[in-house]
Amino acid sequence: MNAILAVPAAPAAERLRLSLATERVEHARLQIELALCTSALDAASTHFMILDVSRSPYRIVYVNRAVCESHGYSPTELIGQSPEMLVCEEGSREALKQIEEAVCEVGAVSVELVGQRRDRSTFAVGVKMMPLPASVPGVTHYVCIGADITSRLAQDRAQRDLQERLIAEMRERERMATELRLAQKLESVGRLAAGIAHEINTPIQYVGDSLSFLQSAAADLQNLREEYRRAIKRLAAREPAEDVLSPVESLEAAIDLEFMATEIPKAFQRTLEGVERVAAIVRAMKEFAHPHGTDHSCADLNRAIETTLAVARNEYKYCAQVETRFGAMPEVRCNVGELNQVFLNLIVNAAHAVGESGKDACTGRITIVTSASTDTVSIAIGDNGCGIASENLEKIFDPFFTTKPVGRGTGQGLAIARSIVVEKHGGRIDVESTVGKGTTFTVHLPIAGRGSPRPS
Amino acid sequence: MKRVLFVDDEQPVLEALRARLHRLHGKWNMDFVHSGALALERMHERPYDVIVTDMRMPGMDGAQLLEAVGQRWPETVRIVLSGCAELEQAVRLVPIAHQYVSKPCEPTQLETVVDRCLLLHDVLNEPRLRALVGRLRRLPMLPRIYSALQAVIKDENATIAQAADVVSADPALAARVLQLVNSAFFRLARRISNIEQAVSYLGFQAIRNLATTAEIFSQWRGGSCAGLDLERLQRHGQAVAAATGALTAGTPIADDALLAGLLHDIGYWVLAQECPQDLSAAVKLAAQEGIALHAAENRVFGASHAEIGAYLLGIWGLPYAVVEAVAHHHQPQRVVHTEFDVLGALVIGHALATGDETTVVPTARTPDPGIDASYLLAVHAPFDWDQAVRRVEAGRASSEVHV
Repeated sequence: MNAILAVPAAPAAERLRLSLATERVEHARLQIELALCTSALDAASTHFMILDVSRSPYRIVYVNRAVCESHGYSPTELIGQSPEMLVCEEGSREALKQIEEAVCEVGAVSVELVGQRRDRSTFAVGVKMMPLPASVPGVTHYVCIGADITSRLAQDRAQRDLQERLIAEMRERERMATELRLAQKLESVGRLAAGIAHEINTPIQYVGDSLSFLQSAAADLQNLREEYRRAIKRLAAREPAEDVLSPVESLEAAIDLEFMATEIPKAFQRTLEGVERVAAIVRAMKEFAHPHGTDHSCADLNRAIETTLAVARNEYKYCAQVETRFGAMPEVRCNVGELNQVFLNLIVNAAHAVGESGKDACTGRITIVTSASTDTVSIAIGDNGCGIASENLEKIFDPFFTTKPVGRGTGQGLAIARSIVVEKHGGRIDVESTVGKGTTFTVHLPIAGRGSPRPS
Repeated sequence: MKRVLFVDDEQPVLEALRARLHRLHGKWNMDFVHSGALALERMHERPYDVIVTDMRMPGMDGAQLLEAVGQRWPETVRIVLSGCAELEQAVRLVPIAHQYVSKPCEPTQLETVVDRCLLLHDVLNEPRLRALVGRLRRLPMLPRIYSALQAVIKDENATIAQAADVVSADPALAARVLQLVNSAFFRLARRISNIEQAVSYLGFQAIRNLATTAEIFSQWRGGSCAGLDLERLQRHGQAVAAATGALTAGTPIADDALLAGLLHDIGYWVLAQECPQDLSAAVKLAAQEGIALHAAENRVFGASHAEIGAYLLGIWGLPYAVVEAVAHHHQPQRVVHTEFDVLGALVIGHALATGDETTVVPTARTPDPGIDASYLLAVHAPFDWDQAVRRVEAGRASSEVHV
């Protein structure tokens, strides 16, 4: 260059030489630029291809290395050929039609195609085609930017499958949960039925015995009355008093009039009391069952606990005394039938824990304390039973977790209690336990019911 | 006067019983206490003839109380009066109580049951029977198989295989059990070829009963006495068991009824081995005077094979209902029935099964007197006379096919 500038030459030739030199420099620069662009395109994993669409079939003008490698050709084998050789027609018809339409309207298009390799194996490819701005108007070239999307599609499919499986599993779980709830309900109903039979049989026994006694007493008194009548007649007939009185006195002694005088009122009293006891149990059963289905309505939980205690009496009366300390409670919006089941499960658990610790009706104790704050109520059911080992404490709400021997419950009681309190009522259950000292379960419920802010 | 102790934790139950049973104060001396501990205290002061207790009580429950009473005072009749239905099966299986009455009971049911228990108590404690038993050199032992199988039955988790193993441990016994199962009285549609099958078809208790009977008869020593031989005694037992089994099929008393049928003449086994001359004398006496053999036995021994057999079964600890049925099977009229039970089944089965059979010893057979349609009513049988005959004949016909 220095030489050129230094030596002046003939003006025309000099100008030509100069422009040639400039051009050569420019060409070299362009070549470097092109090489850079090409190698950049070849370095990309994205497929680049330029098509001449001026006539059908289209012709490949440029492909980058990614296209060649994906399809198993060399650039020279592809350039000048129709792009159809890169596509499996089967499965791509719809996409090919879309491309043709787009090209007609000089528009861009994005499609998914089935790509085909040299060995005729196939893979999924996503392609975006755009007209090259330089060639507008009378477009002759399109650029195709594509990628092998086989793995992405597989991933999508896997994800979809996973989702479907999850949904199916959730449905199955829901079904099982429903069944378990039902089974647990049946179990508690079955256990209660036996207990209630016992509770009713006892008063029926003494009501029956008392009535039998009253019946025979009535017959005896009837005889005595007749004896009295006879005596009156005989006295009226002026028979000697001793003669008249002796059969009366012997009958009085035979039927034990003294005994009757004291026992008859007691028998009536017992009968009335027994009938009331049966009636109370039947009333409690009716309330306990509470046939309101899944409805949530306002209920007095102190009363619900009393009902549950009445129904479950046979479960605890031989191993513990129950002490209730009811606080003033507002009515709580809930499904009281379900909560009764929760209370029943907790009371039965407490009774079993007390029984297991070897306590009896004198030393065993179940304490039920209720209280209310502004927006929640708490029901604490405590016992002085065997307690729960700390390693079991976090498992007790798991379905099927039980430390009881086979046949003593399904291990569902606490899981179901938790599900009812937490999921159906937006509440929570706390547990505190010391081995050998006892356990307290505390149920917290929002007064306004499910959907109101959870008690913290 | 008999002394009866009532135990119940519910005060009103005791008071109502006391009021209702007051009429009986000339017959029974009754006391009422509200806990097991108090009951034991009273028993220590002076034992009662009968104890009637509730099952579920705080502190010592009825089962614990009766177990203690049974060990310390085995002579005391133990009765459960309970409203707890699920316990009934357990009580049947584990014989802590002689009788089970469920609350609420019928107006006179409890009195009847107590009377019946006292009657059996009296029959088995009759001085002449005691004297006879005292003279016997030795009483046969309860076959070990009974307690072995009883242990399996009591175990809630016992499997059929476990029961089968106990029986199969003695192959000769197992073979005899299978022979009984197939030849006798079970109307089985197919041949049972192993013990496990037999257990699953017939149940634990039936197999226990059959194995026990098989072992009892296999212990037979000595030959025949007064024409009484093992073969005959066993065949007669099986025929009666077939009949009682047919009459009670499908009811909770079926197993006990079967055992009562198999063993009701076990008293002869004792008499033939221990006092063969006296038994021969009784047979002769019955023939000479044209009286029933058991009546002749009463004259010779002061008791009959029925009471002696019942005494033996009682010592063995077999189910109370079986002991009672065997004790009264020749004099059923002395018992008042409140429901169809093992005794009723045995008496009717005996009358029907032995119609054309000879008696155990070859004497003229005297028909069981008074066993007729009115007896069926008196024992609350759930069938009439014709139905009973048909049931028993169906059982016999099918057992003959197997033989």
